[in-house]
Amino acid sequence: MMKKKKIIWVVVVLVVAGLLFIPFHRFAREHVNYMTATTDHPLKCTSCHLHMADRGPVYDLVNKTYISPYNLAVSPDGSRLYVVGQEANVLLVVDVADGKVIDKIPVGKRPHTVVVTQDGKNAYVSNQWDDNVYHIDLTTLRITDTLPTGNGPAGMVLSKDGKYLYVVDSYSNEVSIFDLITGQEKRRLLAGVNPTGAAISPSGKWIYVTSRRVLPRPYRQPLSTEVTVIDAVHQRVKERKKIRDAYLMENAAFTPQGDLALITLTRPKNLIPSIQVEEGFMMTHGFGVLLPDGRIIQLLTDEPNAYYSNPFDVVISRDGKKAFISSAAVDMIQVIDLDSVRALIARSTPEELQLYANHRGISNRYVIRRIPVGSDPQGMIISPDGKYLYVTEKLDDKVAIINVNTLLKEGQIDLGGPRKITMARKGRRIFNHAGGTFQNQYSCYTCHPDANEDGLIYNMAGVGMGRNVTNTMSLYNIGKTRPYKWNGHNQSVYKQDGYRFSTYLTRTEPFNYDDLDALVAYIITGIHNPPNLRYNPDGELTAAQKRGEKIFFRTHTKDGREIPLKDRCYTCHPPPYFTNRQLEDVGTLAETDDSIPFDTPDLADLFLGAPYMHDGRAATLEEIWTKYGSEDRHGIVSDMTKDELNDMVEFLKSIRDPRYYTRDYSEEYKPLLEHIKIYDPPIVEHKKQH
Amino acid sequence: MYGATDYDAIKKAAGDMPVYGHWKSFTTENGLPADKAYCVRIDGDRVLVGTNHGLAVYEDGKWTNYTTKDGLGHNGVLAIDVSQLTGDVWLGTLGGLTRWSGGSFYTFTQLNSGMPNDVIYSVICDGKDVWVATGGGAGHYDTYKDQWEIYMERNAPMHEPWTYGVCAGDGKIWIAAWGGGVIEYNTKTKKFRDYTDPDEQMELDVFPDDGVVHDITTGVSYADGILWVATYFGVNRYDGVHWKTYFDKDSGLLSNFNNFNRAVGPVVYFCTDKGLSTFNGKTWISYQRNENNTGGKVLITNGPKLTDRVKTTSYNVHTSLSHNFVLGVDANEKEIWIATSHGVSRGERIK
Amino acid sequence: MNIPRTYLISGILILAGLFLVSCHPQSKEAVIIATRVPVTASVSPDADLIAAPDGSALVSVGPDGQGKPEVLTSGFIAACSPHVSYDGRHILFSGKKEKEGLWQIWEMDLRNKNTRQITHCKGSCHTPYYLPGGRLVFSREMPDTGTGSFLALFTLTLDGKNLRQITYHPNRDLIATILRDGRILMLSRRVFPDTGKAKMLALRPNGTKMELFYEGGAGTTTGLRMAETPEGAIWFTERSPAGKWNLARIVYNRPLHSEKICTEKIPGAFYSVAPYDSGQLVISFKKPGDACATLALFSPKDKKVQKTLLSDKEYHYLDPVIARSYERPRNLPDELMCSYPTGLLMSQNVNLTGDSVLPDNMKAVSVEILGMDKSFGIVPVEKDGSFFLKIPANLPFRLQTLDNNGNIVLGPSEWQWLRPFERRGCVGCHEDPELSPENIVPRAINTWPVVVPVDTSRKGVRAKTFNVGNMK
Repeated sequence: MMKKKKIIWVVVVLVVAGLLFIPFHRFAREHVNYMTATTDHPLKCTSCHLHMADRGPVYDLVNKTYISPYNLAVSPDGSRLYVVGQEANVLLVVDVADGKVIDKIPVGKRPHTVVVTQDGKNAYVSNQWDDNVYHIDLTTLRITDTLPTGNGPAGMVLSKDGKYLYVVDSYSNEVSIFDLITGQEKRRLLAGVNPTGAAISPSGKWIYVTSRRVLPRPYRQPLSTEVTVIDAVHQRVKERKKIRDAYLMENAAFTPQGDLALITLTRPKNLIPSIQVEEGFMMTHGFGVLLPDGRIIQLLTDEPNAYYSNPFDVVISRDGKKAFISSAAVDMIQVIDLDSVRALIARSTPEELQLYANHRGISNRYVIRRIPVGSDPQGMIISPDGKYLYVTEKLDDKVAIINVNTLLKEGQIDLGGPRKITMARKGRRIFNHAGGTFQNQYSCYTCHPDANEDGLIYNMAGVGMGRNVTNTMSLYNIGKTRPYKWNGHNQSVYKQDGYRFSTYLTRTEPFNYDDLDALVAYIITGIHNPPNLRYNPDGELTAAQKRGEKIFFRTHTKDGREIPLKDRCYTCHPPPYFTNRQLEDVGTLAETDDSIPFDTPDLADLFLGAPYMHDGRAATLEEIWTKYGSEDRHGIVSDMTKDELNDMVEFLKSIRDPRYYTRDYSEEYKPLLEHIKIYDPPIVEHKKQH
Repeated sequence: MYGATDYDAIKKAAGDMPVYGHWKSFTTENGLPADKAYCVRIDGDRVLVGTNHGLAVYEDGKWTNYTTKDGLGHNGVLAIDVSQLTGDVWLGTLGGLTRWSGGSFYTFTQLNSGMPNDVIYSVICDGKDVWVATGGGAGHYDTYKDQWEIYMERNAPMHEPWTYGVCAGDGKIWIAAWGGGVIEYNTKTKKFRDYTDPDEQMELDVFPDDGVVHDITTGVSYADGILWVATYFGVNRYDGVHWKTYFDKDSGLLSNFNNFNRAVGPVVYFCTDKGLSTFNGKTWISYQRNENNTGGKVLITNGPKLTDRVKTTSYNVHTSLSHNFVLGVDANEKEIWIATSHGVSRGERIK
Repeated sequence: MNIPRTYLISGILILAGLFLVSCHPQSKEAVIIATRVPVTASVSPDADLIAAPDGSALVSVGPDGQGKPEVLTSGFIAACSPHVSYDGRHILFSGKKEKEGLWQIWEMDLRNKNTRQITHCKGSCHTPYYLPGGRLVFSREMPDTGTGSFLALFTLTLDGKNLRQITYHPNRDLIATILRDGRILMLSRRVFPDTGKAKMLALRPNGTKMELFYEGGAGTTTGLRMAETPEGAIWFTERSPAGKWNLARIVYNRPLHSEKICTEKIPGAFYSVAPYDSGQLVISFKKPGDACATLALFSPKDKKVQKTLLSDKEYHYLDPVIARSYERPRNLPDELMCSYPTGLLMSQNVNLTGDSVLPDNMKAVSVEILGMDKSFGIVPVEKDGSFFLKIPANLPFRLQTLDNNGNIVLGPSEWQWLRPFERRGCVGCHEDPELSPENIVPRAINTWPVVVPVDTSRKGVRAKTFNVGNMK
């Protein structure tokens, strides 16, 4: 009897399951089609429902905390390496002889750079997301002091006499100078935009600070990025070298002779219609040579059919004859013969040297070797005896050891990161690697450094040329702010990075579904915003920001007229992400735009920098209203005074990633916000990916 | 050629006060971009001059000029200050506030930043903070926080938003406000107080030494614990407790019409429409050019006020200012530079 | 026997695995397939290598040349130009069933040697190559419309459908290889209005973005087939001005300036090449004094012809390929809209030529667009030397630049065409092809493109739209 019952139950269950399968499958198919904008994605539920949880127990279950070694230093005797673990927030102490990690010193959030004093007794670690520098006693391996800095401390150098520490404040565009005897910040100097790297000349007289983002310039005019030259004797900015047509200048190095300074750089082609990749129409990569006589020479490391994207660090051999450049997006170290560079400069006319900046064919005159290394090579250092080059392999959690004489990779130091490569980690490797573009010309990271945006306006040439120029959008919080693209045509990251992405941007084979799953998992879950420590360090708004918040959430003009719901700031920009995810026309359409409404952008990354609006025409937040929005179509502003506009701008700059919130907008502004609808974008199109 | 005895006598009469002579003047003929100079600032081994045709820099005996083509906000440069912290030069122009740093110019305007107004009459650096007096209120820019604040009649005790001068010292900011006297801002408490003309008379100073001589103030300068105020109707000295008023008729001040003033240590320099007056609270020394030749007069008044016993002594000198309508001044231990409506002049400090 | 069940199952699985591995095309049993040409035929390998005479056949032989060559195309009057599918299981070839018939493209299943005809064209079809995405590309003889006989490239799906022409100039286009980056490399020679030098051109499988890839030196003749190795070397044969066929190599990364002739000192003629194992190459080689070309191994490292794999006194062996799986080239996306009538062409600065900008007194002020039998008009260039044109799709044209007096400054260029909706950019005019563009907004794109043919009565009409409506 029991057996019969069991059989009946099994049959019932099977019948019910069978009956449900077809509608469920149909539902699943439609859902996946919608999310991916394709019709042939394998119905892998785990692609989204496991690997795209951006927090919580599922996130904890499927993700790992990697070390992600970034920059490194070596002890004066060469016995130890000090490696910054950017993701694990540690400083690793590595015994070079054993090739093992012997200590892990917890440091601040998102550590960037470590420098070691000449006596080898002290180290300083910049904590980019804590706005401070840790002083570490290397004899005890303990943190002995915390030096508050400007916003986003990154690269550092010590003065030649060891008395001063120069810290590059990457988000606030400054250089903080610390008196190491008093431990006090002596002064801050203005640097370029998003400065990161720093190098000191052999004489100790000059410090070069490289920048990543371009300087403010007239709209759609040629760009330049700054190398800030600091007179280290007087601690003043002596010169601001404008490196024309280049950006993402991550690091610098001087030859021991001091006759050359090298900087890494990328030469974007954002002003040219993005109609092809062939012939270097999107990006080229190389280095700058800064000569004592003031000349600036740019040379490419690319070749006509091969690009070596995202050059990051540059170091120079002790004899001053070789330079090493870590080309992060192609997993290679490029070796530059500096005597060839010297000879090339000496025998070339100024016109020829200018031409070389765009010439992909001459790199064989000075690139003498390309050494394959692990994933995403970043910081480098040469051993004190000059024999070895150490390279962090960021996404492998390893350090490569390269023989400086033979130019062969002789070994690897495993820093002990998780063995398992998670989906997001795999996606990050894809994101950072240029293999997804035709001839490796650029990676996702190139236009989205630190997963943010590069500050450039591109002529994406979706149709025609010279039209629909677009401001690169940040990827911060992208999982919460669909749809994507300024026209809002992409309802998911999947679609954003799918076949159209390959057709019009990477112009090579689209990512396969395994890679696309991984890439999306990283973009949704693995990208974290820096805290807005400059404008909103603790969640407590300043008086001006509070006044601005009131203006942002106002419902009536100053003379008592009710502002129509559609014209209120919070209607289109409701917290927590400050977007209603709808397409709107706020009167910003340019003659060169197709007649379309634009996706309402989120505002959580405003503090990270200009330009603003869909085509980047606003160089500052103020310009959105003072120059381009005075007709009250982009919110009602005509009744506001300048100080009130200032207050509103201050509030906008204070907006932080909801991860860092200490307040609940939805409760505070419940009567206003409960009527605001945040929409899911509609399906736009389906197409087979493959 | 100068007669040494002239200066010996002047030096003797001047007492502690610095004496300047051996004047040399510069105009467009010498390389200045314009004859009309609004302001001057000594910056180490170089001198910065704001003219109505751009910024002129005198260094190693040569003038180098910068205009809007180089990135200046406007060619009318009304005010200059140099940050002692960074060495950056801040230029108040008729078209915004320009930061000149490491050879590059960047301009804050009322459209691209939180700056109150594009007409900048005065600029000063107070550590990391930059203050401007503009036609639309006073502005404060915190360079570390990248934050602007505007002070005007709605949030500060001003009569109207037109401000003319600003200075800083000892944790306070003083603003010369058109029609509002002097506004004092405490940087710690972030609170204001104002000093206005107690007698509220536009034409008369009914009670002497009762406060600011007039509500229309044109300049403020603070040094050695003393606030000096310039107006078109006389000048003031304020030690934090007592106000003193000086007029041309009762002191060594050359004219009640004061365009600008600057205090360096114990000495204040008043730029008047009739020449330059200097004063340390005890002795006045004024410099005035002759109308008919390049020579001039040095006028010394050995007392703060003219009395029966205190009179002004005049000394003839062979060189003098390029013009008596003085608009700007700066001085250090070695020299003095003045900006006038017709040229720039440099005077050596007579030792 | 009491064999534990687990052991039994394991043994069966291992044997099954070995069996499967042995059958896998990547195994060492991969055969060499070549074109066998009767030595008595009137056409020698020195002549046009695609003109396989009657009696030509595809043969296969073991990887080390062992065994008797197996004729694969016994039912054909002639067959040649084999290309192996990415899984190593099929080949494409061009074959002729009847003596006076046309060459068509066929596919053979190497497992059972069954063949099927893919093309049924009215002109002979040659040099078929697999493309990613289940497609192939081949070269087809086009009807002579007064411009002389020329060959154009076509693609279609492996089921013989979706035939698309992708080259439109009066040239003889023959496919040399499919690059690993996904592009087609073709040997192209202009035949109208005069005969030009054969050049290796790279283009995308949809016929867009054509660019010069390689050009031999003066007096040389480049062999048809090229073979790219995973390490980035591209091997091919080239006839020297003195008439000797050599083995040559260029580097993919910099093909225009990396040529190395590897066999100058080796007597004999090298006719074709394909990558083999361990960095070796399999070559078609004729020793001095021999009548026939043999298949042999060549060591690039030692620059020596090593082992002869296959030789016959009655046959040449040409065009070897290895029948095994290999990495599929990139499947490049296709942005074209076939219904779209035009394409757009932008040049950044026509006065950038070679490695420099022409001096002011030599600068061009306009560009003339030349058709096959007439001029499509003259368009002024902008101050910065840029122009922006909207040109009917699939229309061959050439460009020449003119000075103030209407004299030719540069040109005419090689033939060009634009595919429907293609957007194409040029850095200069006859500029160094290794130059990348300056990052500036070309003035010409600040307005609408000039429509070609130019309406001379209205001094050039600018398009007011791109006719695409609300693009997604």
